[in-house]
Amino acid sequence: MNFFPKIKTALNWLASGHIIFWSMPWLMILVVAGTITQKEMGLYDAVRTYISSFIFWLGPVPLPGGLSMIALIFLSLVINFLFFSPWSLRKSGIHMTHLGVILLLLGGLVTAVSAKEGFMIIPEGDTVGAMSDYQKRVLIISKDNHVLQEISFDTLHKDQIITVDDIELKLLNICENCGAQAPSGRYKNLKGLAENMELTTLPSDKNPEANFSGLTLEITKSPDRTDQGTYILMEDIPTTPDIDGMEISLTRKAMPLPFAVQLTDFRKIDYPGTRKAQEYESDIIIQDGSLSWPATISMNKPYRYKGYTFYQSSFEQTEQMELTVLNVVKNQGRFFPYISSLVIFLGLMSHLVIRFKEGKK
Amino acid sequence: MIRIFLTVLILCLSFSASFAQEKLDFNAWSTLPVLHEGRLKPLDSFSKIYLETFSNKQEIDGLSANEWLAQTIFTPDISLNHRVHFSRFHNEKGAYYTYEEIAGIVAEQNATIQALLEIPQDQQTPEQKELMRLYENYILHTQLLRAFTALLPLDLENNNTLKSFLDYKDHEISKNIQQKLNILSQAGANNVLLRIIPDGESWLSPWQIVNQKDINIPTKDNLILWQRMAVSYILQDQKNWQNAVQQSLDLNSTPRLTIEKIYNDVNFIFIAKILYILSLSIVLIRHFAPNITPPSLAGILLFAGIITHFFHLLLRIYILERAPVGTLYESILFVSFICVSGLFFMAIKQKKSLPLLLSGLSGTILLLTAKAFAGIDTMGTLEAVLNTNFWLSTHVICITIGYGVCLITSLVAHCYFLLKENSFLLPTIKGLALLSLLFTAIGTILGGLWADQSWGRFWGWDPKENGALLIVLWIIWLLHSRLTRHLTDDGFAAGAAFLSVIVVLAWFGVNLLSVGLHSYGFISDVAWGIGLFCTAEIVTIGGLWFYRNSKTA
Repeated sequence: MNFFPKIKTALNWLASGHIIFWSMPWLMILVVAGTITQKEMGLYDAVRTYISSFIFWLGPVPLPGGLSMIALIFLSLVINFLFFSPWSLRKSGIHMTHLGVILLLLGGLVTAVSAKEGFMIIPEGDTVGAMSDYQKRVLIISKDNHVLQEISFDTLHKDQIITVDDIELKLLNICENCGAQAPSGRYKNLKGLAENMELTTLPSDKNPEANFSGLTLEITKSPDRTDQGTYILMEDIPTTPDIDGMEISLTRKAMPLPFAVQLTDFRKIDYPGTRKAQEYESDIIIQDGSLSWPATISMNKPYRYKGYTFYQSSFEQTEQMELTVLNVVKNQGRFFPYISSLVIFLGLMSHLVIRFKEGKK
Repeated sequence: MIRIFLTVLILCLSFSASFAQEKLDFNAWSTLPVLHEGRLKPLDSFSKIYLETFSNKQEIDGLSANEWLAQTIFTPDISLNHRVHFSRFHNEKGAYYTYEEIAGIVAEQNATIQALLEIPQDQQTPEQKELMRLYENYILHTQLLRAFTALLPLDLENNNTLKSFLDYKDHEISKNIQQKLNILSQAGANNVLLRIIPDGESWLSPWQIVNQKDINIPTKDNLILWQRMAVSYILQDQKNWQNAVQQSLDLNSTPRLTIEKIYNDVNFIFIAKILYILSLSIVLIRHFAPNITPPSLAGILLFAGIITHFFHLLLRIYILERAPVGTLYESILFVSFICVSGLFFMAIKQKKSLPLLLSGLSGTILLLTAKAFAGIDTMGTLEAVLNTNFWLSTHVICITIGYGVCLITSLVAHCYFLLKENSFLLPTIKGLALLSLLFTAIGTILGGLWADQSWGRFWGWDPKENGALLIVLWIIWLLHSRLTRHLTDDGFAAGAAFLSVIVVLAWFGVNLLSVGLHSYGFISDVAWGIGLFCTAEIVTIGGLWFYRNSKTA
């Protein structure tokens, strides 16, 4: 059997206009759905459902998601560019534009696979050497600042038993987004924060980063029997149970940086005579080994070092303290859009000029 | 001490005044600078903003906005007579109230107002919003009425009392003034609205200056000049008034303030709108009666409109020192300029009246729409993230040119269905669609690069980004479907005509969602307008398609 004609036919079909004609409207419908539903679902869930998915379910019916459409269009473009785009000056603009789009989509793929994103909250004067994940939370059990066990919050479930050395704990209640109320008497032998409050489950926020996670746990085994009892853990609350020198905490997943960042000054500069911000600026010191140097980050002016880029994202100013929130991104694909936009621009311009000249003739 | 010194100065000036009854000239006075909402602007802009905020009017009881402001700050007792506040709080049709009547409503509704202060605006009923608007206007008006009480001899008393000071003995004057100043000082606490006095690098209100411990010499000179203006105004002394105003202008005036005053007075955009309407009317009239006007008149009027429109944009660039596309209102002005001038260029090139008609039509419709988005102050400061001339001049200019070319494409595509002989329009539509793709695609990618620079990601599927992407995808689909013959000529033209709907949804529609990072562009209250436009367009395009097919069948 000769497969080549069949392959050629398949490639021919993939490179044909049918793919664009049928997949593009569906992609547009998905973009519209992924936009409108952001109001109710939040950006994260809406995009995950309609755009960043290969398949999504409309009731019992599976339908192709945005990623399937983008992959199909990408494939069609690549095949068309490689096998069905004979070089000619007349078509050079179109080919160049297609190449630009291929590069843009390729950049998107590299970004999706390799990009790391997080944030750093740095109070004025403090130094931070890790960024925190926006969405992922972890349960950490540590001793003498040494992590003994790190468990993703998403994998935790009620009645789960966790054993570390001589200590055994049981998860009684897990809430992705917690509220607090006075102890109801539901749990016995309350310890620490649990003596004053009990966690309640609130509906999850549309934006996962806005959720305030927590859990209720019971120490069932410990060398010192007086440590046994019911505790609560709340995200980023510094009061963590200390069981025989072992600390249990719930926090955003930390991603260490190969250097540290110190905040020396944060400034919110207002338009004169108003409280409306004109500019936000953070003066930082980068500390890498024995070297350190100052830098300033402001709106539209990020700072880049060792592949990491720091952006002014948010801030907090009180009478007691000032802190800055920096968005941190490491993205291997960040240059693709810059190159592809230039290629697309040149391609479209060439095509227009060639078309204009042809029209004149 | 400064308070006593200033009051004595008033008395001295009042003696030396010539009591001339010549009407005061507010032209020069209205170009004096005031720092307001983060921007140094002429008093002319300031007075118009507040008179319109209170009354929706440009003048009141025969007084221009500048005259009303001068009366409000220099003779607050007299200005209280004007029914300056428009409100629908007690009356659905709306009525005008005096300051004192508004003060009465605010006192009566105090408990409700205090409760409403805790409720976000988007959760308030229209009646509650109106009450809060009234309350805010009451506070602003109070600040204006008290703005000069630090420098005026008396608060809300008749200016005849000024002369009666002569009858007091020295210690009585001092005691009386001190007493009144104490009362006024309390009244003027936090009165920072009228920042007219330069103080180093900042601008302060008279009350802020008076409450300062140390006043430097230039600040004091400026303060005294303003006091001379106040006294001259009270005594209607034209000579001293002009003198003080001129000296203050010599110290603080800049060409930018004078230009802004000209911008306010001439209202170039209104003139442009009238010229577009006239041009459109003449083209339509000539369609039925070709000999009624000279053939070139419509073109000349349109060209004059384009020049006026261009001048308006140029003045905004000079005054605001940035690209004229920072707000939705500005983007409509810019897109309308692109549409009108682009179609005018086509009319010249093709020597046809159809683009001339479309040019006048697009200018008229877009400038009428712009009015709805204008607000009272169209020259506000921008959000910190938008405060970058580089990206405004590249991404926003590029994408708004793209919107403009898309609308031109859509208009021409509509005409395709109306004309009997229309095949000549297809290459034009295709060329315009390509040009639209060039600007919208590059504009969208530049937007991604800006997002990469300020938020750390090229693409985040934010509604505004998705809107721009939709336009690009739609044009790509149209062009490819035409190329591969999946779409007929009519289908391609209908798709191009539909671009107007996609553009309006991407330009305004996504802002209605009020989600995402482009919070500076969020709008409400226009959902019906957008819905109506989209429905009308779908019906029109469908109708035109049906009309054409029924003709050819």
